[in-house]
Amino acid sequence: MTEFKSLSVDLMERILCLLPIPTLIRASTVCKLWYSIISSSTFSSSSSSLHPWFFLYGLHNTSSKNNQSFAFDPISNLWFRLPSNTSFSNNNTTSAAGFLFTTAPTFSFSPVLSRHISTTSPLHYSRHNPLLGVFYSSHNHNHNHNRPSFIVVGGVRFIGNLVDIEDRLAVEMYNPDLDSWGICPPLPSDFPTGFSSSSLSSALFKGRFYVFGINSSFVSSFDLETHVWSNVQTLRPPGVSFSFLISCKDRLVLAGICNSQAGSSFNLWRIDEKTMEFSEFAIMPQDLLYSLFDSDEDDKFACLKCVGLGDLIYVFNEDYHKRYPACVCEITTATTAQQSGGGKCKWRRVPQLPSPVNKFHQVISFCSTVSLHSILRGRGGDAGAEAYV
Amino acid sequence: MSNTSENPKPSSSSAKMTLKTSDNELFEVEEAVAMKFCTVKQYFEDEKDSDVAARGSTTVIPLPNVHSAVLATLISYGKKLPQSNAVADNHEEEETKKKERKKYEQGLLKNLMPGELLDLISAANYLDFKEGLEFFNQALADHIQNKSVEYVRKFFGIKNDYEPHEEEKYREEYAWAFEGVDED
Repeated sequence: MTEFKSLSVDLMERILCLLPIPTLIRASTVCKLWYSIISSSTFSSSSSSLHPWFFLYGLHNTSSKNNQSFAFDPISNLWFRLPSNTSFSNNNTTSAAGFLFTTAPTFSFSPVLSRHISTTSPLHYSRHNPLLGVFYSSHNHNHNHNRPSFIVVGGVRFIGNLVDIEDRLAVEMYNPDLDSWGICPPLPSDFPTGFSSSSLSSALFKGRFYVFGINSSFVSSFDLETHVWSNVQTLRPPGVSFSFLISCKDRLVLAGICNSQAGSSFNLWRIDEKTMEFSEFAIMPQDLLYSLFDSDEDDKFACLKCVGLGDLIYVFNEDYHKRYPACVCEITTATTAQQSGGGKCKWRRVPQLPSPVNKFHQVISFCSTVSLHSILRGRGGDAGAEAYV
Repeated sequence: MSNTSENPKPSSSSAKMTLKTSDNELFEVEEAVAMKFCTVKQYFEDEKDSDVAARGSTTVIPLPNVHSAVLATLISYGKKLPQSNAVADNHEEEETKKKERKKYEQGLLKNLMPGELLDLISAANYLDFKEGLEFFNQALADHIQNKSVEYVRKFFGIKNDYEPHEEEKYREEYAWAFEGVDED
């Protein structure tokens, strides 16, 4: 009945563009033509960079075979259990903007979900658990592949087995063309030294690297061009007990628990990066917030963590009891608001993690765009030595 | 049936055209719908330029690459689309129409055999029917999203040109992406 036995390559490509990333990874094994279409750097999956994945790495302090890692794709709305040979530990693994990093004893990075690891020349001060930012300098026009630059802030050094809490480590910035690190002024002393990622959140936005105290609400930003830290301010809307600073597509967002006479809620504020003024634009529905807990203790909210990127903000409970429930908020921008008939953000529960889920001593969470091209071609940055795991 | 038209056009919206399929069936279609098939539109405009007398319902446009069953579905889908020359509805009417269309679309897809999607896509592409192509492309993508690699090969008639050890290597490397796939 049909005059057409099979579709043309063009049509095939148009259909492939509509598929989510995990499907495309499988589809790349259908035949060599599909592999070359899908892994091409010009292939643009409509699963855009505005819908980053959510990663949960669970660590067991004494038995590393109980470590597990999971990845959530918001487009297909599915969790994936990642292979357990991804080597990481809570002391030296950080993530930012699509990469996983090891910062001590050497500095290396690999695109999320890829096995390709690149190592840079060493940091002047290797450190554990720093805050990390990734950016692409407009000065590097030398190569086709725009290599990432890095900024490393804070972190701790060990003296023997003890953490050196006296040292305020210099900020270091990586130049990919020279494969070298430059020293810059350290984080202002208003911020405590110590394990950064548990008390500080960071966001890279419009050429500045923001550091924000989750409980202290101190904020300061580092200009990536001039290498100067701004004055330390307090950014705390009334009633906020703790909050996180997140860099989204078109705005800087503050997300956190807000207490009022009516009770506690999880709110989102847009932050004007020039004035640090805040304006509330979303509140998590109460029933969704309470569905993340099963106890009624006063301090239950303290287990909440929040990460975000692009148009998505993920909020999850790092307490084991309900197997790390999470929800996600899709921010509607002005244009999409018109289409959906309103300015409301869309909140929804993230499905349960696939069983079995172990009990972890520590949970590392981050939000990252996933590059199909990097996964399939195994490319990352090409700094220094390279290796495959 | 349209409300008062704000900008009267030379061709009225009730003019019909005749399309002839590969199996020699004739379809009488309202011009507004037929114009969504840009290939038809192009043919019609070429005809209009070349012969002033032959116009509208006397012209039979041949579609040698499209079978009648496929064309019937595409026409049916085309009719349900918002018409380009219709008066803009208010927000409420628009919402109701959107819901109706969604219901129609779901019903349409339910009754389709997956293989028919390939025919519909090819025909929509040949006819240069943008909305139809987008819709059926998405329907096909949704259909194969969770299917196994073997299913996809069979569906598209693709020959596996990987060596067994190559395929094995990739499946192992990306094993996490292969979990939870639908059974064939």
